[in-house]
Amino acid sequence: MIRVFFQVIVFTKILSDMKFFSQNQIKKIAVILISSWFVVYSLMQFSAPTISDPIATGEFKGPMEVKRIFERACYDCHSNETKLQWFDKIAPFSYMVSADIHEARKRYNFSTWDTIAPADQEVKLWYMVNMIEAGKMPLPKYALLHPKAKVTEKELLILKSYVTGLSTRNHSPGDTMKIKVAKVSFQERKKINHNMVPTSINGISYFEDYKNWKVIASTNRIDNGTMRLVYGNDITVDAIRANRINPWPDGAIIVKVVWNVQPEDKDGNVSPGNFNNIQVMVKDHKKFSQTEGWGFARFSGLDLKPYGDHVSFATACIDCHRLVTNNGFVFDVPTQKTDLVIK
Amino acid sequence: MIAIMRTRIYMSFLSCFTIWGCTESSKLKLAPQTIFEKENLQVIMSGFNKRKNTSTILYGNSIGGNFGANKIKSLVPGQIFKLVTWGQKPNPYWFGGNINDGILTIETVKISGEENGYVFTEYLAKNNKGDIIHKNNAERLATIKLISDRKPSAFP
Repeated sequence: MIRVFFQVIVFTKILSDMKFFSQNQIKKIAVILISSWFVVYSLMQFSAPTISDPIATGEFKGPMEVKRIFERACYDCHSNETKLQWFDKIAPFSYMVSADIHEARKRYNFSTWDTIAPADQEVKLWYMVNMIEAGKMPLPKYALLHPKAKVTEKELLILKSYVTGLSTRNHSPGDTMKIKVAKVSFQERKKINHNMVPTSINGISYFEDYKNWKVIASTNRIDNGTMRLVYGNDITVDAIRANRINPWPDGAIIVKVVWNVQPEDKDGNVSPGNFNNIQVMVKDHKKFSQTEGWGFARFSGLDLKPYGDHVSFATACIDCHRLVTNNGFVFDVPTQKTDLVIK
Repeated sequence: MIAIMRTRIYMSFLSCFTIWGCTESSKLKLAPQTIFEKENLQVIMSGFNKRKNTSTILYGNSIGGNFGANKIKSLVPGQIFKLVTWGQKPNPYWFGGNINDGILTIETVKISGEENGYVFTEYLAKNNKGDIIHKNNAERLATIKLISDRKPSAFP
């Protein structure tokens, strides 16, 4: 709204310089535009959205030093204990603040934390840490006027230590189950199923040609006890070679094969355990325009069960992938060790 | 002329307000050289070592049924294996994750023949520049043992 006000002023000045109108006409246009702006601005004050604070039903329970950081930096948006500043209640800021809080509570809400499954809680905690690390949280525009929301380096270390400890306890035993293997090849299975293949609700089907593609990255994560191989088709590999990944070209396909990790052996070697899932990203800027041009699919277990009951499942995928906008929304790209800029 | 200049300045000013908040710096340096040129080989298994800070992939050709549900474990003439070892580093885009860095070594093992239950192997190790590197016997045997004992990753 403030920006619009400045735009109106600059716009009238341009009209004046271009001499399309007489000075009197310019003055009249300026008065009309500024008056209109003022009326709209005043009306917005009376129709500003309100933010309700329902009672907290199942708060986050963690170490006090961690909770204190969350309470100070995150609770205003990600809980039902929102403490607004006086300027947050003035339109147009009130509209932005209300929309942000609504979205923030939808992503996760510390006041209803126990409604989230423990495994998902862990996922969200790591996501928070990575959002803070990448400078995406608190939202820079919010932190500008709410400096108390900023998380210091020391506090970030406390959060990192907390999530690392949590996941080490949960995943360090590794996958000790007997490794299951597919009883029949995918081709045989396809024949048995009359050419039917597992297909995600957005139309992305499982295929196995990725096995002939190049591996673009090999990764492992302590936050969920998995190791992965990331394959790229020729379009993907060519895009990496030509440094054309933001945006990636249409037709790029990335396949990530995920295994649980087995316990480390006496020499420190870690091998893949049971197959966990396969994730597919397909670039088609028209077909998947709602999710930055990427279509997502995940097929879990050896029976390749597609994930998601509604196409909107991909919203959660792209929300996380927005952490790496500079990479064209892809996390695992081969990069040089030095001069990495992630903020 | 001055009016045009002023108009341009105002237009720039207007543009700044319009796109304000939408720009981001990007200084990503990609490393396509870390992608292994696998030719006609496929992944048999992968692994990593936290102490050595390395990650590995064992590739193989299709001879002898290296892949699929009916893969076999024995070594047969014609088989080619490549054990690629990369360095490993923290994933710069995800705290808690590690990702491979540059290629350190490519060890190639060819099963050249078989007689009375014994197989003959040819071994060659190169660095990321393609220069031959010399591995001692223990290192060679460790790689060959890893190949003969290989436990292929479970693919669907």
